[in-house]
Amino acid sequence: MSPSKLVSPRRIHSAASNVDDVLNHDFCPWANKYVYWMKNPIWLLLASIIVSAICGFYLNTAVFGLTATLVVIALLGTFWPYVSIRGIDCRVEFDKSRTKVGQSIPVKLIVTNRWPWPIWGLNLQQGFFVENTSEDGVALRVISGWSQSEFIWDYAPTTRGVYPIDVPRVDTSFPFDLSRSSKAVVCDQQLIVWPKTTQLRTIPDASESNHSEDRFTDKRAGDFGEMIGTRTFRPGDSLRRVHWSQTARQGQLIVCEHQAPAMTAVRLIVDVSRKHHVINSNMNSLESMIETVASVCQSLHLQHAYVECQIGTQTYRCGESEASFRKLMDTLAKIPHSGVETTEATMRPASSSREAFTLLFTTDQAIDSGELATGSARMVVFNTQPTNGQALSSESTVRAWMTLNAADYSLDQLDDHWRRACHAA
Amino acid sequence: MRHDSSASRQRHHESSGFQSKKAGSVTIAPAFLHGMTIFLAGLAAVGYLLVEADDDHSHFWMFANIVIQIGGMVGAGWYCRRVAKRLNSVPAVTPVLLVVMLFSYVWEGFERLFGENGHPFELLVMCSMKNVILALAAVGCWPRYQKMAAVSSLFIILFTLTMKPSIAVQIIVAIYVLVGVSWLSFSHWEALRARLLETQQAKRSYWRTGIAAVLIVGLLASVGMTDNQVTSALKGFMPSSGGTQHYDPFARGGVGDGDALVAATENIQSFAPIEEAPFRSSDQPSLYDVFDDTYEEPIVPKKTERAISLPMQVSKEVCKRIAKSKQANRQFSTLRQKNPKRKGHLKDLDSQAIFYVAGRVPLHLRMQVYDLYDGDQWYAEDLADPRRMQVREIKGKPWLEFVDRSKTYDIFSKPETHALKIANLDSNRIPAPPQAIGYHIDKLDRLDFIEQVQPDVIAMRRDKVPEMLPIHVISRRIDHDRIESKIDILGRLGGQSRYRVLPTISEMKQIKKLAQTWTKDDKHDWSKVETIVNRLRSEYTLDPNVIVSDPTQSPVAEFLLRTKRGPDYQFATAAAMMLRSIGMSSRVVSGFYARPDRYETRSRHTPVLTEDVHFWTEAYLGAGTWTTIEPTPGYEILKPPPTLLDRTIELAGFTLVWMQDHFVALLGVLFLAVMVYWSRFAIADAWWTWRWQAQEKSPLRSHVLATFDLVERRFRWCGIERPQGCTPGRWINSLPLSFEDRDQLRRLCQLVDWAAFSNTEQDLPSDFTKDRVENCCHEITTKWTLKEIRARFTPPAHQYSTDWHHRLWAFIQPSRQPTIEGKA
Repeated sequence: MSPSKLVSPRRIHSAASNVDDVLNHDFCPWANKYVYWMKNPIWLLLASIIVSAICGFYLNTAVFGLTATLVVIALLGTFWPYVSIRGIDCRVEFDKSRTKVGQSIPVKLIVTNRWPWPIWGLNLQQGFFVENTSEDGVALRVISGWSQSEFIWDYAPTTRGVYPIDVPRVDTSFPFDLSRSSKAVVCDQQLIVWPKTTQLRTIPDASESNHSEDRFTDKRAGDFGEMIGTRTFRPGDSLRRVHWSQTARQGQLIVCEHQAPAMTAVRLIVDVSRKHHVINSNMNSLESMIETVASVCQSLHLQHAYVECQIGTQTYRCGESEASFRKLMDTLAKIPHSGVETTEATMRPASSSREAFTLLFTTDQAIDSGELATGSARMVVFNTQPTNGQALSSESTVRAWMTLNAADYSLDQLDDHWRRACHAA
Repeated sequence: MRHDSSASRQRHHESSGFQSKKAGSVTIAPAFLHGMTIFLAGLAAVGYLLVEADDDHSHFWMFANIVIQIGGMVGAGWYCRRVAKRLNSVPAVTPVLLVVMLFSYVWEGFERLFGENGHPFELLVMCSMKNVILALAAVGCWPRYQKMAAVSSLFIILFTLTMKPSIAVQIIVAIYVLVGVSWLSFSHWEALRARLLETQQAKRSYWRTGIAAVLIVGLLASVGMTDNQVTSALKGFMPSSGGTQHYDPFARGGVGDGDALVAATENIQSFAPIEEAPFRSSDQPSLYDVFDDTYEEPIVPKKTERAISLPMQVSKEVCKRIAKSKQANRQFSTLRQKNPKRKGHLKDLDSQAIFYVAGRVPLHLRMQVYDLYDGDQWYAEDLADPRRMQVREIKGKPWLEFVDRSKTYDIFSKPETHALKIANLDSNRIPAPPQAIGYHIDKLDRLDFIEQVQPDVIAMRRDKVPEMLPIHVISRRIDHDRIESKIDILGRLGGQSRYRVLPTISEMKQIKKLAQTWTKDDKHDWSKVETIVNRLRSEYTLDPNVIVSDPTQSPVAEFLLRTKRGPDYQFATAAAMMLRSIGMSSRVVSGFYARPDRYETRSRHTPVLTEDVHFWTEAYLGAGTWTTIEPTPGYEILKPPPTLLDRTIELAGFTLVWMQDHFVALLGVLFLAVMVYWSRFAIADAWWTWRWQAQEKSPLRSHVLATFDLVERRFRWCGIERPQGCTPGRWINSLPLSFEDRDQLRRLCQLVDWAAFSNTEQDLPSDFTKDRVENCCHEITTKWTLKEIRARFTPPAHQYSTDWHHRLWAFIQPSRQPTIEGKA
């Protein structure tokens, strides 16, 4: 190898990266919980106070001036937030009680400052943000002394659930971010965040058509509703349906065709069992499943279908009524993020509707475990195994009505998958 | 061309360096925070270089090092910021830091090998750390390195201050602290900035704010504006001392640092009445005698007096200690002796006062007690029954104290200490406050050095009290408010008859009658005393120049019955005679009066001068207790230490009196403040307009932005604020304006869009040229003045409540939150 290749920029960069990785590698992550508190600058400040005090005692008394300054800074940074937060009362109000993931909703934050001096840098994170990162939350510039201020911000929840997730708290660490003091925020309302959904334009062809007195379809000729066409008379047709003007014009008996009463009914069984799902930072099959179920329910509901959804041991019937639909979506929103403990019996389709068009939403892990009693249900399988471009396991492939990959799940592609499955059924 | 205003703002902020930026997935710290970090690291580096130079290197060496190191850091920082914008991840900086850290040690090895030059270990370590900090500051555009640089630089500063507490270093530390605190605060605010919400609506409690403002004004008026006792008591929590080559007339401690006569050990030039001062040879008769066998020309004392012999170790310790100081602090040099300014100043100070009092004043200091009066002269009292004294050690210090008499009445306050610092007292008597309990003179632990010469008056067995001698006295105050309820036996029990002897003068009957007339309504003895004192203080005039005109007349009778004017001894005599005439024991005392108006706030001492010699009266309470009464107007008696309540009431009273005294000025200031508040928007408008005019020659883009900024400010001052996230164009559209006005402002908005998103004049909107842009800006700023905007938008009906104070404020401040209901 030539010397020029040995010292090429790429090699130097690579070597530097390796050294950097080694120098910044966390060799004892188990110890982090014991030492991470040291990341707070107050401890560094205390360390410098101690060091300066020692220097003052043993080396030079002039350092005591710096010690005093550091002590003042530490005290100011500690007690200012402590005192400030005690003069604050906060209340949170929502304009609506329901929203969807990603949809913003105005949230009103009312802050009362009982102190005569203004309070800067209030921060609201806990209760509204799942991971309290520095970019989450809202901050308030200043609350004037002896005043009540109202703030409205557009809150777009990133996960489904019931908000506030925890007791919301406002905190402040003004002026130096050395110490953080917090206070609970009064929140009398609840915000239910439904899962994210997408519009599915198709109804499964094989879904059952029940007779209904108030629903009609153009696809089937019947005796009710609007006229959809004409045809020649066949023996057995009622004379009431003869289209006399056409008959006279064409010289043979023509009868009208009307709509037929019809209604789509779909039964959904959702496997939310904790042990059947993979939930980690790369993949969350439970959330994917809930979003899919919510999308299916919403789309069917919008197309006036009758939906029965079995979640755990509970079955939710969702017809024309908006209330029943809201109840179903609320339930989907409230499913714990880690899934629920279920027994084998809870996953069995209810006997009353075994003949209905049933979709069972489950994972390949559940199928492989053999714990599912599927009956005649069609399965929507979430594949949790890494496929690497290969085919799914044989049993899942054979039995699945629709297969979705949990690892690269995208709600945008659901409509496409769904349409194909509907037409193939 | 329409753009979202938030994008415009972001661009504006970014261009001004006030917003964190994201390059790829990496956050880049704002430029001003990066700059502050570089500044902190630069200060630390300069501090370190000062320590390293240690006055041995030339100025050029210092300057060159500073320029190279800080210049390198700034250049590297600028380069890193440029690179950071292109990178999607934080580069591998740690190996570079490692190399920088090791470089110092490697270079040191070369220096020692080839240059025969080197650094001590601690400097080497700090040099290495300093280099790492400079490197960290350079890469401070990535926040985590920035924090490390700022925190680490603190330790370099600490090291610097420890090693070399010179003035230059102290200035560097002070600047470092200021910038460091700002950096902390700005860093915190930067983390919040992205998530800040604007207030939608705020209800303020104006009446509470108003009351608070009045209270604050009152407090300021009482505390901050005059040099009174309240002010001085609040000052000086921290001693600004050090005794190191630095003269500060405002220092409160330290030798040679100020004019104060205070304790310290380092500088003999400031030798003063202080116990910790080192001993020095003098030809004056000293209280202390130390055997000194040093090889120097002996100083022969002019006069020898009784002295305390001290062990030889004392002088050795002094020498040893100074030698030690010499090693530790190189500042201990003969330079101090060459400072004629300080010498002269202290000499002047010494020549003024007889002695100084440290402690509460006014204070009566007893020197001579008189018991018999023959109508013309008072005769000093002899010591008939000396009180027993003992030496008691308290906290390692010897105290000469009277064996405490049994407490007869619960009328005494807690004992308090006064320190007398003798300067030029030509007497062997120790000035002592009334009810003195004990005395402390450093190293004086023998009773035979003092003697009681009169009741409650002690003297040193010498010709005079030595100069420069501090004497501590413990005494108690008598609470006169408690006397009436506790004692109604004033002087009738135990008082010796000589304290009630009246002179045989013809006018004595008249004096007695006068005393009885004055006190006829008083039931208690103490109230009689108070009546006599009050009448004397209120109806008689102090005039030190009055002398008895008729030698045939008794001076006291002439003063009391005729002239009603005289010096303080006439008041004292008159009070004593009147008290004696109604059967009470009294005596006259001469001594010194430490005036509160002489209190020096800087030194916290009260000098007592020759003109402070004073006469007063004492009344006998029984059980060996004499209480001071002060019949002379203008003189006060020291009251017991005030409680918190007393202080509060006094402060409130003082505030009221001050406000009353300065009523007109206060009213003027208040009026001025109200006027400034009333026209604050007009003042702000004038200032911003001036700024806009000053920027008229700036580039076109800046000029357009400044114009819009000015117009937006004017609208905001009128209560019409552009909502967050609203573009200028949309905002102008939402305002109720006429077609022409809106068109004019929309043209400005077009220019703002151009200025925000384009740098070249080629991109100007089609119908604009440079001159037209300038004209447009000028027309708009001329037309849309604050007055014009106010006139176009009606003030609102107050939206919060109908309370009178809200309506009042709405009236006072018509421009606050108007509704957008234009006339147009």
